[in-house]
Amino acid sequence: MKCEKYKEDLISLVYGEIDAEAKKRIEAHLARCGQCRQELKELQDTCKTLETWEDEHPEIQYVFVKTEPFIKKVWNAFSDLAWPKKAALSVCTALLAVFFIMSAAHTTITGGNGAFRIALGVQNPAPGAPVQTAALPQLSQEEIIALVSRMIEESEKQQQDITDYKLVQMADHFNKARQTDLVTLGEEMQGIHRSAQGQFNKTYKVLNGLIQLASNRYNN
Amino acid sequence: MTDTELVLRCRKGDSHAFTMLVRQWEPAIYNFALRNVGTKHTAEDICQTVFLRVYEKIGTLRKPEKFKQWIFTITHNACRDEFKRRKKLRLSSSQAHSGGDENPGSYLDNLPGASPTPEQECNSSIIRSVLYRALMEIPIEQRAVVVMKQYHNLTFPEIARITKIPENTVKSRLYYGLKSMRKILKQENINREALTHEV
Repeated sequence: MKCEKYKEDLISLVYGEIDAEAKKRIEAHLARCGQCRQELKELQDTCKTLETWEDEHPEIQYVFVKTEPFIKKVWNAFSDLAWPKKAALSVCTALLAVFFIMSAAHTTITGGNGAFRIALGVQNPAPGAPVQTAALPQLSQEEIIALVSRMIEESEKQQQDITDYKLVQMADHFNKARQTDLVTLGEEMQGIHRSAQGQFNKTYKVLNGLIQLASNRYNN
Repeated sequence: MTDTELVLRCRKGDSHAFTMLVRQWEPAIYNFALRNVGTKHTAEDICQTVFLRVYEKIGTLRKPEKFKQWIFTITHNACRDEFKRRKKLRLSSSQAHSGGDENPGSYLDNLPGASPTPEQECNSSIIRSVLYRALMEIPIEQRAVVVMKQYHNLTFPEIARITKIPENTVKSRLYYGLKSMRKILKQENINREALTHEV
């Protein structure tokens, strides 16, 4: 179709977004083409019809939760403190840092020709220090076997008790969850029922309107 | 306060400015999504997704004065994601869905009926439902362009940048979209005169 090439110009003209040259071109074409004049009118009518569809107002509740890394949270909390607290906290943190560094380095501070001595270090037994051990009673092989068996029995009994307790807890949890689900299901069903009733009423109203409209027109 | 000012304040971490931005743009974004995807709850979901993305990415917006184009690009992409999701669902679902993107009744059932008399309510609902159906029957690409131009007054270059297609293709899609809609409206006997008399 020879008018096909004018469709972009036609659309530009409908929305008034057209440059002078294109406007001249399409106007010259429209002056001699009745089909395109009709097309332009129809496009303008369609736009006007579409304009009658008004915007709706959304009813959305936004919940934005800001998540921050732990370090940033700590920093923010620190920044919010009053300056004396901030200063005190800074000094304490600095002292603690120094203490830990000195502990890690096993630092010893001496003063007053040995009268004053502070030794810092992580808990490590000094080389050559005696290690205290408890003397174990001498037991026969049968006694050892009996002792181990008793220990195993005790351990199994303990494990069984723990398992029983966990099972009771799980059953309790499942029962509670089932009850909650049933309540939720019931509420949902009620909601669906209410919504269906509402829709039904609306449809009934529209149908009544239609019947009234039809009867009015028929009477006229 | 202009969008540019609000964007600049948002970048500095002003949450009040972000709230204002949401309040200002929420109706436009919601209605854009609604006219594209056709269902209220999906439009609401898209709206939330869009504002979440805006919140996350506002720092990357290089030209704050282009905020309108930027937010519509995000919304357009969110709508496209929704169509992809639906396509996947349709492919994986054994239930056969025919015709449009979604059952029009889902939106029509929820149309607000503010008209006082049943007759007015009836006419208004019928016209809106026809407009809705006409829009839902045209291809997604044409629909997006029609909605952007018709209801959001975006310029052709702006639409071209949002949809990443040449300007002439935008005009072409708009032309065929409007023509198809005209055809449907004609079939339903909805015209300008009918609207001015009945609404």
